Amino acid sequence: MANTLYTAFLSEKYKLLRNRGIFGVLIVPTLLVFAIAGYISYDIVNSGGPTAIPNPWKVLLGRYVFQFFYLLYPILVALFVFACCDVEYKNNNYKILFTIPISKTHIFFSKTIFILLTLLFSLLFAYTAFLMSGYLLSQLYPVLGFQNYDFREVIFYTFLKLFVTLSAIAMIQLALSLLFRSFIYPIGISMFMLAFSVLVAQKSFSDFIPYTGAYNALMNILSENDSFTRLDNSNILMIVLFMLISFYLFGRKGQF
Amino acid sequence: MESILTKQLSFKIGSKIILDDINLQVPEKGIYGYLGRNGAGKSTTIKLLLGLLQDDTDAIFIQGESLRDHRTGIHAKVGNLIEAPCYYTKLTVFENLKYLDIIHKKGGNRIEEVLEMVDLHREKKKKASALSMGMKQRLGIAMAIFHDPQLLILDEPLNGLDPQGIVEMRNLFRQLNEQGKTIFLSSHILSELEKIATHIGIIEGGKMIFQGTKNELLGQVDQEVVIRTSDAGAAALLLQHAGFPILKTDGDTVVVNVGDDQQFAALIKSLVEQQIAIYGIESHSKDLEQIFINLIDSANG
Repeated sequence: MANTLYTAFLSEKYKLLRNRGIFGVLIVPTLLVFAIAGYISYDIVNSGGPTAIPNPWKVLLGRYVFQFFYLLYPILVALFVFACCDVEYKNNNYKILFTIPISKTHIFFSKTIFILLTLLFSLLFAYTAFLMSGYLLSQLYPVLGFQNYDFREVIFYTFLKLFVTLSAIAMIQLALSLLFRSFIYPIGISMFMLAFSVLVAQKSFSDFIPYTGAYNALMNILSENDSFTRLDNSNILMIVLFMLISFYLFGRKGQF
Repeated sequence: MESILTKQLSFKIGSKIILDDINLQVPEKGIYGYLGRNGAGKSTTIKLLLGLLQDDTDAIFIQGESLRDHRTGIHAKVGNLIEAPCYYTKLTVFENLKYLDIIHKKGGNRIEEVLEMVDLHREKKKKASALSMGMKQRLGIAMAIFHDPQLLILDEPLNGLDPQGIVEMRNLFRQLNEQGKTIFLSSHILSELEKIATHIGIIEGGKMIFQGTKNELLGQVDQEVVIRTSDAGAAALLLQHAGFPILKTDGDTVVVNVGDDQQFAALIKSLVEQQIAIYGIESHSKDLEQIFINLIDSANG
């Protein structure tokens, strides 16, 4: 027996990776990127052949992919984080969790690290799929002009900022999932916040709403913005703030 | 040394007192049956003993260590099953134990060993959610004993088991006890507790109304002795003079209340001395259930 963060992480990983919700958040965005690349090919074939497009990374692939991502990812993250908490709600398994010889602090941070690492891998897979799709389209349809633009930096920063945004959303959802046992509240709040953030995306106060970051990922790729803004800095603060709130709520969970 | 010791353990929810000055003394290597009616405070006590409810008064000592100060260390030595069994529904039986193995690092053989002990080896590839109620209970027990704990705290461990399962689990608990484990268990099946427990604690309304060995508890009450004699009337008169309360005389039968073994011997002796022929004697001890009800009734006035 070892009361270490590493042991706690290994046990959390073993338990949570056997949950389908986890694979959803890992794989769906990657599959979506390939599906969009497939749709682009299908559209070219149906419209009689490819035509040259100014910066297809941005106007063609980026626009389609991020239009889906800004709506899909926050919901996937909310579902995934709830699934991570729900395994303990079912059967009142907090009784197992709080009677194993590992401190609550280690258990909490192992769960948090697992959530953030899963998000990171999900985005890395999607990022790789995005680059691969562009490369495949450049090979299949050189006329489109993917090979004429080096858009890697903007793509990298867009994905990086999306990771920061989704991490902040994950921590908010973690706090909500620890606060509410019912599925309705955390998922409902995430959907409402997503819709609200799109409506107020142009207002300056929206920088303090992490959900805006998903919509801004689309704007970033269209406007080729690769700099960190107030929204991104605020999201980093939100990660820390909501992690601490979640830690407090997790500690109270032990009191049946 | 006591395996579990509580010093004036009290617990309140708001202004409602749930536990009041509970002084549990669970001897090492004993089997302690914890009895009480629904809502008496049994589950609250058990949750406090496991640290699932907070005791701010530092009143709980497990294996000589303060639970407040050595929580995680104590959890390594204690196995538990509280109310319904806990397990991860998406995992198989084997995976549930593998999860514990990652934490306790007992090695692959331990999983097979425990599955054999609770007779779940044939179900090890089944999803826990697909098990029958009795099988789930066995899985809960398997998870409780997986890390070979010195102390087992079991709340209603026989729930959902069929008669054969109850016998198997009783034998398992005895076997674990023979290996030196202390078992603290609560159960509504009093006849089962009577068969297995060495010590009994009874709680009513948040207060301990009895704590001691099973023999001390059973010795607290009289037993009924039914005597078939050649002359029931003479026997009844004789025994009444000797101070035995006569409960009933019917034909050739006298029913008498007897306190302990010495009184029983005195009763036989006086009948023989008066040359009253004894055709038969039956002794009916009160069982744990009757004693439990009597104690609860007297505690409630």
